[in-house]
Formats: sequence, structure tokens, C-alpha cells
Amino acid sequence: MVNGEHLFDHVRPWLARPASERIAFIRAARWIAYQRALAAHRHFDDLLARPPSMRTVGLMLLGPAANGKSMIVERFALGHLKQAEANNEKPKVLIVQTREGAGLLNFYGGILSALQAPQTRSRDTLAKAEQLDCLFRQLRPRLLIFDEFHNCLRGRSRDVEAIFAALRRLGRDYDISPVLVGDVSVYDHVALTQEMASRFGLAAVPRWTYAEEFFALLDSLEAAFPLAAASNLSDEATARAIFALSEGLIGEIVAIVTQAAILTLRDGGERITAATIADLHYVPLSRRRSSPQREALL
Amino acid sequence: MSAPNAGALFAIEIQPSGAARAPERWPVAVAPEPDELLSSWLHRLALAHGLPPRGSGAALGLGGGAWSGRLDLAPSAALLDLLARRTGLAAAAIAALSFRDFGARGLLLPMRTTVSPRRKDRWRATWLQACPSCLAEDQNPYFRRAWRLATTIFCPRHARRLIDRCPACQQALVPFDQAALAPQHFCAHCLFDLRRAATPQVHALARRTVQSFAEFGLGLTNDDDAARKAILGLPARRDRPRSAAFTALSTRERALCLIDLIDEIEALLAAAGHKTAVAPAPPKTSVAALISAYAAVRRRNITPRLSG
Repeated sequence: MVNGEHLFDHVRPWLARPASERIAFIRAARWIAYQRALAAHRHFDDLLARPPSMRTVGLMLLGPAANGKSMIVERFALGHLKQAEANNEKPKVLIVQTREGAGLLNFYGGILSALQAPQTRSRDTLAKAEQLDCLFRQLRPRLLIFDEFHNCLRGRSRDVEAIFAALRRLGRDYDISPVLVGDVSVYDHVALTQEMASRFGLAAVPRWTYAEEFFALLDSLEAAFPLAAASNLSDEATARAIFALSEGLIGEIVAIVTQAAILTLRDGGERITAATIADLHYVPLSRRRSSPQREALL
Repeated sequence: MSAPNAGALFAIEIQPSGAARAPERWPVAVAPEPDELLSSWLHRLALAHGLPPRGSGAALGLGGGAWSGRLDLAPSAALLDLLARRTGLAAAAIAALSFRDFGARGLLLPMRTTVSPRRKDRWRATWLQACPSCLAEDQNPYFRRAWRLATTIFCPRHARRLIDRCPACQQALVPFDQAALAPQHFCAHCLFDLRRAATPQVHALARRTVQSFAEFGLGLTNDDDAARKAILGLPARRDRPRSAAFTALSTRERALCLIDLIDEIEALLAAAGHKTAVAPAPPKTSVAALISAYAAVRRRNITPRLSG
């Protein structure tokens, strides 16, 4: 198939564009609607639609790095924001980029930045807590998604306790559901005490296994990249190669296929082959530490 | 596994980055009230976002102290742009709340923000006046632009004298120094509710002149040098000559000045061509007609109506 029959309908027109534009299109960030991601979105919708409760009801969206967790929450939040703007309501979903430092001051500062509220540079934690109370009373969000939540867990244990206590208080006073996005360290901290563990459900984003879904993913990526010939990425050889290099992380899978597609376009071809993938000299994440690449730097 | 099954493919779309959206509006919208002062609006904006007015100068990139009072006179274009972007109002509308385009800058009260409660400072002006009844009637209490002028001494709606000090602690009204999350009708120093202040009423005979004087001051332009100098020199023509200018006196002193010199003020207004609002002329009747009409009304009220 060299005339793009294997492509999605909205991707097929890109075949006519010059190579530089196709490369830019391939490089753009993409949302992939696979089962786990859609299930996570359904979880979020449930949290949004739940009746008011006295107890904090939260969710942990955990998984290894480079596995698409931030993409899932961003897609949900942007979709919700567009809907709220269309209905002329205030958005009920907020993504907070958790700040790097530990401690309540950074925590509150991160939430205030997410609300786009004006902030002073005072280091008075109480004043920031009051400002946050004033804003939440007026805005009433329902879902607060903390991206990279493990950032604020790297601190003294009493700071971590304080942050958890703040989450419980926000849930109790304003009926806000926190969603914690991070890696396994978030699970460890939350599971430490019963009071936290009882409030958070778990939505895992695990690594991909070598199964039907993986082949479907490869086929979908192939259909989304404007290359004129079908590459049949789900063939045994190519699929095995990609799986070995990516180690089951969707971020890596997309990166490998993207780089292979760009390499193909730059060489003037229209099909990704196993040889192309081998030509990438891609080093899997777990092997980066002591790879031949590093040897070359010494 | 090699032939793709079209039904099993996942939907893939380009996802625009959320972080790429430009910094948007502040979450809470506060609309300026009619004839609101810029500093008053800024304080209400800060309070709506949970910031006490005292530190919010820093949040806007300005210094401390009387940050909002200085802005009333001349807000910079950069600041107006910032406010326009963050609040969604037009920069011109925000500038209209200030005195940037105002005519008679010489009649504004000086930026004196501290007065001693001791006896020797009782006659000094402060930078802002307020009418307690107007504040009490507002849903969101705010300060009017007209209250910063020396020619506004009595409230046109309530005919009561304005206050320029807190009655409890005798300090100037400094809403920009409020450190608590309290609205502007509370004194920044002692948290006294300014709406409860008692002020004397203006005398009925002087009411129209006082009103015209205030309107005259509002409408003055920079060209009316003679009128402005005459107003500034009013205190010198009273019985106890003070060397202070009209704008340097407290509200109480200016009120006394006004009452004492009411004839000269009317002459000044007439000379400047300002028409004082003419009272409706009383109907011309004779005394006999009046008395018979009164008798008829008395009879009607005393004898009860038997029908109906």
C-alpha cells in the first residue's frame, strides 16, 4: 500500500506536504486513546460526578516514568476546560504542577500558581493558607490533580505529614478530590497510614506487555504517521525490536517510532523496517548507565 | 498480527500543550463601581483574591507604603496593561478610575497619609475623605473619586459632612495599609467600622451652594487659574488668618471655611459662570387663597367620610 490507505483519514492529506512539514507533524505531541487511559478518564468523570461527602475521596494515578501519566491528565483537564468555557462556567478541574521544594509553603504556592492568582513573596504559610481558603470558597473546584506529586514527598517526614493533612482538610472543607500523579513512592507514602490509605483509590498505569494491545498500539502509530508505505510495525521482528528497546513504556515506544519515521523521511524512504530501528542505535532506559555511549565519552 | 484490523486501532490526535496557554486572567472578577477610585478598586481586587491590601503592592510589582494612593494620580502605562490583561477590562476604563486625565490637579488633597491624633494636627488635611452613609448603603463599600477633592466637603446624596479621619483613633483613612482580610470600611489601624461614624448635617440654606461648589471643583480644568487660586486662598480671608492653603486643611476646617465664606463662594461661582442650581420658584398666590385652602383641608380631615 503506497498511497496511504493504511493511514487515518485526517493524516492522509499530509502525504502531499514537503518532508520538513511532515517531520514537524510527526514530532508533535500526541494523545493516544488506549484502554487504560480511557479507564482513567472514566475514573475522573466518576470523581467529578460524585455526590458531596464529608470524607476526602481521592485517586492515585501511578506508574513508571515516561508512561504517559501527564498526558492523560492534561488531556482530561483541557477537555473539561473547553467544556466549561462553552457552558460559561468556572472550570472544576485544576492541574497543579507540584513544586520542587518540600514543605507547605511550596505546596500552597503551587496551588496558587495553578489558580493563576496573584501571589506575594512572603514566606508566611498562614497567609497563603488564608488566601487559598478565600479563593476556594469563591471558586469551588472539584478535582485537584497534582502532577509529579513525588516532588513534595522528598522532605522531612513532618512536612509530608503536613501536606497530607492539608489534603485531608481541603477535602473536608471544600469537597475537593485530590488526584496524585506520580511514581511508586507516592504509593509507599500513602500506604503508610490507614487514614491516608483509606481515602485514595488506585488507578495504575503499568508497563505495556507484549500482547494484542501492544500490536494495536503499533498499528495505530503507523496509521498516524504520514508515511506513504505501510511499515507493518506489528510484524514479529519489528515489534520484538521495538518492545525490547522501549521496555514497555509508551513514551519510549512513541519516541522510538517517531525517530525511526524521521530517519526514514530524511533518508528519502517511506517505510520503517527493522533495519531502520537498528540504525537508530537506541539505548533502552535501563541500560543507559553503563552503555557503550558512555564509554565513548571517556 | 501483520494485517491491521481497522476496528482495533486507537484514536490518535495531536494534543496541544496546556502549558503553552498564555497566563490568563486572575480567577475572581471584580467590576469597578460607578465613580470608584483606582486605589479602592485595587484593594477590592486584592481582597477578593485573599490578599490583604498591605502586601499586594508587592504582588503588582510596586513598592510598599502608600502604593495605591500614588497610583491614583498617575498610573503607569505598563501597570495599566498588566491590569487590563489580568482583569479583562480595557486599559482606558482602568485609567478613567484615576486622576490621570483630570483637569484641576491643584485641588486634590495632598498625599499626607499620617496625621498625629494630637491637638496640633487636628486641622491638617489627609489624603482621602469618606461618607459613612454612602459606605453603609453600598453592597461592596468603595471610595469615590470625588472624595479626594478639596472642594468636596459634604456628601451630595446625604448632605452630611465627610470624614477624613477615623473617629475612634483620629488617624487618617489608609485602606492600603490594611493588614487583615477586612473590607475597606474598617479603619486600618483600629478596625473601627467607619460606617458607624456620626457626622453633622449641612445647613439647609447652604446646601445648594455646597453642592455647586463641589460640582465646580469636579468640572474645573487646568486653564481656570484664577478660580483655582481663589479657592486655594479662601482660608486667608477668614477671620483667623491661616497661612495654609485650602487643600491643606482638614474636612472640618474646610467646612467651617465654607460656611463662614458662603457669600464669597457664591460670588466666585457666579464670576466663573457656574450656574447654581436654582430652587423651583414658589407658586404665586395670595394669602387669602392659602388660608381658605388650608381651612378646606382641615374640614376634610376632621369630618369622616360616611360613604364607602
